[in-house]
Amino acid sequence: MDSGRDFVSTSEVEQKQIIEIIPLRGALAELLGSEVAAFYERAGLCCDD
Amino acid sequence: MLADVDSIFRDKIPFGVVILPHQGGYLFYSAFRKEFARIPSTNVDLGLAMMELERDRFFTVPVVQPDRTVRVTLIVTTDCNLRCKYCYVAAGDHPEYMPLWLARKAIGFAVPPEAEELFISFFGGEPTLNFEVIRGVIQGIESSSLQFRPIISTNGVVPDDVLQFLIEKDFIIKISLDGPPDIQDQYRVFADGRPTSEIIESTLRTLTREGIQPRVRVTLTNETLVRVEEIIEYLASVGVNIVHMELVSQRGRAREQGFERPTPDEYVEAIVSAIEHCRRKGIQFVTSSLLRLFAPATHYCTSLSGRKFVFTPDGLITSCIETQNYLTAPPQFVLGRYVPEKGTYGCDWSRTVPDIRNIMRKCKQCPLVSVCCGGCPIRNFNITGKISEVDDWQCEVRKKLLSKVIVDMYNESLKAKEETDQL
Repeated sequence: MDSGRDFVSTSEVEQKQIIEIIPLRGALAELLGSEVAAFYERAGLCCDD
Repeated sequence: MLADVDSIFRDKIPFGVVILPHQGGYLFYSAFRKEFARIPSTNVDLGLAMMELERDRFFTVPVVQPDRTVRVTLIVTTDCNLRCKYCYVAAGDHPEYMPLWLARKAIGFAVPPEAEELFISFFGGEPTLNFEVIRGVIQGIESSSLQFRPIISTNGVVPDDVLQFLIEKDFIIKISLDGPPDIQDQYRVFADGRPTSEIIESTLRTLTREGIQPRVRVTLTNETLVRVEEIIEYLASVGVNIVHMELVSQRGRAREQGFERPTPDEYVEAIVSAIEHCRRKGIQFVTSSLLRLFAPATHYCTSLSGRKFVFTPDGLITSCIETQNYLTAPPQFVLGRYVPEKGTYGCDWSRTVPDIRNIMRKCKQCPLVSVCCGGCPIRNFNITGKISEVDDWQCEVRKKLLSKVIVDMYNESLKAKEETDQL
């Protein structure tokens, strides 16, 4: 990728170790990703509904 | 700084992914995958990192299925039994009622034969003032084989028999209620100034008695913003367990009366506080700035993107429920109208905006665009006079709020992972 900056080059193995993937979990995600929020999208509701 | 991310990643941020600067590195959030990826330093080969994430399918976008869901909002009247001081459509000032024949024409136009599901919303003014049309529409849909779910946005000042009908027909009932009586009765009053809080509380009691989950839409003002904790305590005390909060819209009476907005920081602080209190109380919370956190899209709202029809009493199809008639609807929000000579509606689809990135220059390369979507078009328009130009206040609020919430979710996810790893 042409990022427009000089980055320190790392090998692919090192890179893999650097990236840490974390699954989304927790009470905040549950609250904001509730079925109510999903219903807004499915039913086409918006801020003024 | 978000601007740094913007300049480094340019237009290389995959759709549905947010990249934030985080503790000397970058935090990637994939809304579709519901995962975070953390790169702890900015001094790494980002190209290689992106390739690695691509290989792990971190950037996966789900295949879009044909949308056979139809969404219709009928503004069945612009009349209202209240005169709320900030009403964005000044309901009741120019009352019009949608006749049943026009409502049927609207449904006939909006629902194609291949439709599988219909969400039908009744809106106003106070929609229950045109109860005969609501009943007539529901009876008409019931006589078809279409699967449907009715929704109503009401002020809660509703006669008992009408409320019973809504309950029997399994409506999703959204009630506007701003908080404890002193707040409610300051803003949401009858034309003669009489208070409404006792009536709304009675309506809520009826709903909870019938086993209906009361959903409440709270309008925040500059004055009530500092009382969100108290507002949520009150709502919990009257049995509400779904809360939707928004700031007063700068339109209609709110604009005439000079309702001012708080600073973006004050508003963000209030919403963060509301989230925290709802969490403690076990109340589900919704606010428009965060609705796309798990549902990235190229459009902010279904109406402007052509995925929903809003029909007005005087025969317009508009792209926003804040635009309700010929007198007040800005032409940019009018998609079509009923054509008497043809006996049906005509719609100009070229006026819809399926992808906001095509018109909103400032948003196009923003790292948050797919979970922000440029903000509410009418609220942008109210301030900037253009759909395509984002309101700076709204932009700042969304950037701060989305960034904070994403980082908070990451911290919780990390903690949960560490706890699991220890087991």
